[in-house]
Amino acid sequence: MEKLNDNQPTSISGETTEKGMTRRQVIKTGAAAAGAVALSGGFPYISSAQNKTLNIVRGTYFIPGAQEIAKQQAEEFGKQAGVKVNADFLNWTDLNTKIGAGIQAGGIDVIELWPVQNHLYANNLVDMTEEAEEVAARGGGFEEYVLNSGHVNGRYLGIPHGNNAGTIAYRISAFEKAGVKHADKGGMDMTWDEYFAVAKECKKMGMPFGQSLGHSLGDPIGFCYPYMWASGALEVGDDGKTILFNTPTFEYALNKFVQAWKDGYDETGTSWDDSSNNRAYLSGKIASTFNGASIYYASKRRDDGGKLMNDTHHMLMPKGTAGRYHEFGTQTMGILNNSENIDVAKEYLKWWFQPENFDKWWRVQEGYQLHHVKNLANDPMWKDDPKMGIFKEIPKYGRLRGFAGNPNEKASLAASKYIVVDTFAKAVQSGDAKDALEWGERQLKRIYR
Amino acid sequence: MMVGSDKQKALQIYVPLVVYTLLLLFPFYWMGVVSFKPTSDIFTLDLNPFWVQRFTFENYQYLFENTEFISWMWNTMLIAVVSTALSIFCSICIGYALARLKFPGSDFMGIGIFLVYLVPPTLLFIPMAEVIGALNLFNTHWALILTYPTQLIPFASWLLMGYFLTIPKEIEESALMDGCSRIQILIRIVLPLSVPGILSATIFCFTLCWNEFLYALIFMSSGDMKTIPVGTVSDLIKADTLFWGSLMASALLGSVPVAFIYSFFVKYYVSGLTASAVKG
Repeated sequence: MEKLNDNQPTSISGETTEKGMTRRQVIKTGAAAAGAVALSGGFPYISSAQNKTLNIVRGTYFIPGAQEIAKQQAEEFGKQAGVKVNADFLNWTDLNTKIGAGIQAGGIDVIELWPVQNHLYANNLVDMTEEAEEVAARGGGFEEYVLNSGHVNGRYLGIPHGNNAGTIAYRISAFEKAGVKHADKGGMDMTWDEYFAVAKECKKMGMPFGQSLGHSLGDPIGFCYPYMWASGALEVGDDGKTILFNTPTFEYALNKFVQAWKDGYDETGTSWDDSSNNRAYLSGKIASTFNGASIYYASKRRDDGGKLMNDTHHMLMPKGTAGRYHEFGTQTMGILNNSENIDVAKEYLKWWFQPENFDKWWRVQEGYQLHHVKNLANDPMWKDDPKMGIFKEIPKYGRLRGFAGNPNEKASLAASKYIVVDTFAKAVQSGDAKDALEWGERQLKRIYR
Repeated sequence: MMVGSDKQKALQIYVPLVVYTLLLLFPFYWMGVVSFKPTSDIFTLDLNPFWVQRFTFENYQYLFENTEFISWMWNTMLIAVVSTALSIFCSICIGYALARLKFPGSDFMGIGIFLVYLVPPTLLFIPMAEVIGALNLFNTHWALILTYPTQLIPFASWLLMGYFLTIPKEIEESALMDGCSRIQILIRIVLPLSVPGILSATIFCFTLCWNEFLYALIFMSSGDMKTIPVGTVSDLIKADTLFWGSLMASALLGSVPVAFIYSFFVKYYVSGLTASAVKG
């Protein structure tokens, strides 16, 4: 039998027998193991389910069904395994605090990690390479972005489960008035210059574009990093040391953005958080923004006779001189290595990633959570709503913060200090892109030295 | 002239007072207005945002049916009341001892207690979490009931020490002459004279417990064991989607108990805080 856990007190591995167990002891151990299996409801690696509590901490889901299903599934596992399960869903911004306390003081077994957090907490996570590879094999292999972002130095410190992605949401009517053809079909292949030109027209009509450049987890980073990459700049090169941020092409592109901000954007965006653009879009103040599918999801549920839903569509991030990019990596379900229930936590994750459980949770999100394995790229769910189809393409363009280096703790630190985002904010506030870039470069050098 | 002075009085006192009152009450009004609007009206800019066009209880219904708001309220109330009671009891003992009992290092301890109050709680949450983890108290009421007093006792003791010092020593000396013990003096003489000070310390402690977020998030954030601040943020903010109506309903209901207590005891609160401000 596979030994899953060094902390497992009643392991029945061959090693123990070699140390001199008698036949009677072997029989007793076997009987104890059988008893444990019976108690733990068919989860053979849970040594003893009695009095065990599994604490699961995840982020909240704006699609209520996803959270409800995840909660029900955790309870279902608890019933089957005979353990008590606490499943908590926390506001995204509070997760790091909770993880930090959990690492120091315990109390958390399973944790949902955002991209890069597997690097940040690498020393505190259980190696789950074997389990992750099982999931990949069953699903026809991981998608490329998962292969790029899901592991740390070749080991999976958690099982990847995809991620929610953001892209450009826009009002069809506003784009059509601005002269964009086939806006109702979605998926337009625009350059940043073309996109800014539409912004200018829309602002003239009283409906500018909106973009958060504040300090919030999702939208500012999701917008600024892809624009930087598409403009031929990187926070760091593939050696993980050389800063390639303050480039002539990026200076040129940032100047264009500064002009576009004046001409086509709601200029209060420097103080926006992740919810501000949702609010602005849903209240008809802006014509387009970078966001997850939450805007479209909310518009589908409005009691306006489908007006806003029908007028909303999506397109990929526009292209720059260096190509098209999305800031995107996988989330992982990890186990803290100070957990007293590593065996139960592993069983839970193995159980939850079975297709009959995982796919149910994944499908209810209607494409908001992008697939982690290739088989799900062809899932019938993608045909349910054509306006969500474009989200399936995002993984192709996904790069993580720290690109072209590794998405390591330095990349995470640079992101948590919002250096790239603040460079954009400083540029639009001062109008001096060169000065903002020099500031950003100095900050990045301090981190990557 | 009388008329002139009335106008002047109105301009100098009542106009600023009304403006200030409106400013203070506006957040409550806004919470109330938004909590009674349907979600689609909240996002419709064509409608007057300061008034309810289509009245609905759906946000309150969501709050009570789809979240554990009743449990959050109970948890918050229980923890705030017990922590406050514990803190005030300890603070009375500490404050009285420091004010009246002269023992080696008593002055230094008085300053030390105040300095402890200056340590930011955010610096202490990791070591505190280790203690709570070691005691196996995560996700129990005791986790917060035992940790909140560590923040409350230093300030409350310091506040009460100052208040006890304003009570003339002679009263206590007379009681001693009449045969009272220190405990009897404390219970029968000092405490009845210190009601404003004790009330102000109580309100301070209760408010801090009621609103506390960080420790409640770390120590007690599972299922129905959340407090109102943590439950509101974790269950009514889903990623970048905020349930504005229910958020406002929760914030409004969550602020009622504190507002209620303040409205009844504000007179004592102010006199308690200012009692030791001047020598007399």
